[in-house]
Amino acid sequence: MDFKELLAPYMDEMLRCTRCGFCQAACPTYDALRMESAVARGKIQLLLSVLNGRLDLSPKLSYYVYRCLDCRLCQQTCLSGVRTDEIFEGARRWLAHVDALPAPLRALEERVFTSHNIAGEDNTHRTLWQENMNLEVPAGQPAEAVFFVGCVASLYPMVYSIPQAFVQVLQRAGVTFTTLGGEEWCCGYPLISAGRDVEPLIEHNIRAVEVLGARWLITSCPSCYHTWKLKYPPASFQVVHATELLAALIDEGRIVPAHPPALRRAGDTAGPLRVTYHDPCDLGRKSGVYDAPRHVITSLPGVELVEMSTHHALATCCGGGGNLESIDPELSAQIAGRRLAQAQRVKAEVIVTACQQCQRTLGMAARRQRLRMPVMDVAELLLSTLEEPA
Amino acid sequence: MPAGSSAMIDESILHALREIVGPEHVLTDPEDLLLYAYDASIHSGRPDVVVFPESTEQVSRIMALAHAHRIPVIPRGGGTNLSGGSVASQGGIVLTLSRMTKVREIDIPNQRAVVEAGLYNLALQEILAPYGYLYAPDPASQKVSTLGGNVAENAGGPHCLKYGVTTNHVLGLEVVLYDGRVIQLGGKAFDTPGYDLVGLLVGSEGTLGVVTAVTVRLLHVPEAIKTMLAIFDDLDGASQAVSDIIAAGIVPATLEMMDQLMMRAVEEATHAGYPTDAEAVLIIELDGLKDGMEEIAEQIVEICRRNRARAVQVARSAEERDKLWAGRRGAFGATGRIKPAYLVNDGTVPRTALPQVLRQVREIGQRYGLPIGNVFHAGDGNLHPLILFDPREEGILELVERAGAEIMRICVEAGGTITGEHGIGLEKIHGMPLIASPAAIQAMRWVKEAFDPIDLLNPGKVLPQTSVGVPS
Repeated sequence: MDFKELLAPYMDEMLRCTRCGFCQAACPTYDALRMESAVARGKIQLLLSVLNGRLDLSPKLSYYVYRCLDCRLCQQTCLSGVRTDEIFEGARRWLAHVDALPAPLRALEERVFTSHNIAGEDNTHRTLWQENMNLEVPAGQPAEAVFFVGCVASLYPMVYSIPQAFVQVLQRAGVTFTTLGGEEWCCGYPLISAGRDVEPLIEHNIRAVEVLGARWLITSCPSCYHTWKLKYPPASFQVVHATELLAALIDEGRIVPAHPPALRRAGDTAGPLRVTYHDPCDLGRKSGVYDAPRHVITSLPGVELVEMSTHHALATCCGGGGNLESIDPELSAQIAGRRLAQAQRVKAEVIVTACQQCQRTLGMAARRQRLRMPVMDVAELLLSTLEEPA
Repeated sequence: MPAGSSAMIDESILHALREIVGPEHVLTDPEDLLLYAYDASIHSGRPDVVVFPESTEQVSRIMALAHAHRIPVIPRGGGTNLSGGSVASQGGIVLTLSRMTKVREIDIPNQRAVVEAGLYNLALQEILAPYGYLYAPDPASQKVSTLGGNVAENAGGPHCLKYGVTTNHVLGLEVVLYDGRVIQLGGKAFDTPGYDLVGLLVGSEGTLGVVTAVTVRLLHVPEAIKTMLAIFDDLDGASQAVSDIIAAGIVPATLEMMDQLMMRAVEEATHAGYPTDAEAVLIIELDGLKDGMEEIAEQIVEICRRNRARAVQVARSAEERDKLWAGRRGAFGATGRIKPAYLVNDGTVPRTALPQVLRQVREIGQRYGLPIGNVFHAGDGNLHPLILFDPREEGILELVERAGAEIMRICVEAGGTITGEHGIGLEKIHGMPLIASPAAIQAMRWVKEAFDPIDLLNPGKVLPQTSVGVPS
């Protein structure tokens, strides 16, 4: 059985691609590779050929389908409005169903289902980021708000600073919250993205939050946000992104940015700090949150927000989208370098984003290039403008 | 003697290709061959191997190898060709120039640039913009069409009404010949002695040599730009206005027409503000010195009114203007909102014949029961009737091709020609006898024989096979 009937419902949508090739201009992966296999037009032609019986399933076909940022810029810019999100999600479901997942994704699946996190670590390690902080981060306590930290921010030390900054801001604003500690399981995003069903993860996570009586679930990870908001069934609590909460806290006067961020080095130019904001695909294009992070940034004293050549719905992906980093880390890094170049062209001093994966990807690219441009989260930038607590 | 077939590409040739460009730049898997079997036309043809050179030297070595083994070579840029010119209809090597994107020289004082063939047209414009310069030919596909492809097709574009097409802006070419030798034709100077081989190569659709670098002329960005949208409730009025504007001695930078069917698709895609209840619009752009522009604009408004224009709007900001152009440039791509496939004609007619030819095109559509949208360079008389269809319908392709052939014929009968800028490729080969006598096709064949005596380069394109012959 080849289960091609899983692909068949997308036939009409695929035929709407006129092969004009304009997606070449949008696709960050094509920009780096300059090969037709990278771009939506090419992937659609391959899938059509499978349906027409001109091409058989192969590891290479699977690799080409998965070598994608899932950033949806092709869909955003497609003149015929081809729903590439539906087509490629369908294709990945088909490939997962026929057991054609590329090896790195198979390994990822194994890790998530056995360890409940993407790193394959003991899940109790999710709280390690809290050590060396002078405050207690509650876990598993009944609270109105649950902070869902996310696998990357919990388990990759390079971005521990994001949840650390975020909980500090919450505590200064007097927000009572809890985390799930070791009871937080991966939201399932990378596996859903790979075409797998993740019912056990969804059921566990919803139950874990509901049992605490929470009214809000706050995520700083845009992928968790997108997944909770659009892939999970409706629950008894509301899903909020960290930047939306931070913007509201500023508006309510519960957080008062007091001074410019202390990021300048001796010899730097005077005037406001030039900050550019990188829209994470999962938060912006895929979830529609563009204003909240910008609102926080523009509320800070001594900061000037400058936009890169692509932003909002047309923002270029950082290179860390979808499962590309698992499939082809070198390509992911190349794409990150191109996004960094956009920031350099507008003479940004700092790149601010609202996603731990974007921050890792762009931060690593900056280090590779020996580029002294800090990459930080909105919460970190905000924290740097607050008065030290008495 | 015709060049070889797939059977001639054996492991030793693949090994040699891998030596030249590196193993990761030689593709032979069925998935990859399929990915290079199509372009933006309705044609397809599977190559035997796809290679991605990154230098002229590599292209030269590939051509020498192909020559030694008589393997057809199909040069390819962004794969946006609209006449099947970049598909491997006889197999062979698809030579993709997408990695050759270097800017070799920007010479602002002399208003010249030397760039490699794989650079996108728009990428060049973006590089020039900070200097206040531009490269005039601006095909609608400029975001994703390469300069090499633009040269091969002698590409036009909306602004070519005033500034001329690619051939008017290309001064020099670096060309790899069929046997691998590299020649430089022309250069930064205005004219070169001897035959105008640059002029010959431009528009030769990859059949005479592989263009690897292009020396182009640069123009200063105009001081002022004014973009107008003239809205008509009848197609006749719009096409007569085009004819009248040109007859009044006005040469706008652009004079584009779009009909209702196309506006509906474009508006859904771009929300540019096109009036979808109107029968047609003209996008008229003036550029040049500020002084005197207002008077010309008034004259144009008057001509449009005389031809029953409902309104003439002026773009109030650069953003509004960009939106209009994004809609116009994206029009072909947006047709997927109506039907999955299209065949686009590219006939050019004298401007005075526009109203009559457009009526005939409409009549052909009605007779065949096929929707036909129009979006085109009206000022040049360069039509682009898009015949929209669903390839899954039984027998539809034959019907579409017949309707397309009829459109070609009426363009020729009106004193025009069968292609303005998209090339002959595979699609219009059968129309060649409509515009060229047997002797003229024979003369073209001699040129082909002179450059490529064994028919290695993009074989089966442009020239109908029936008139093959070598002078004795």
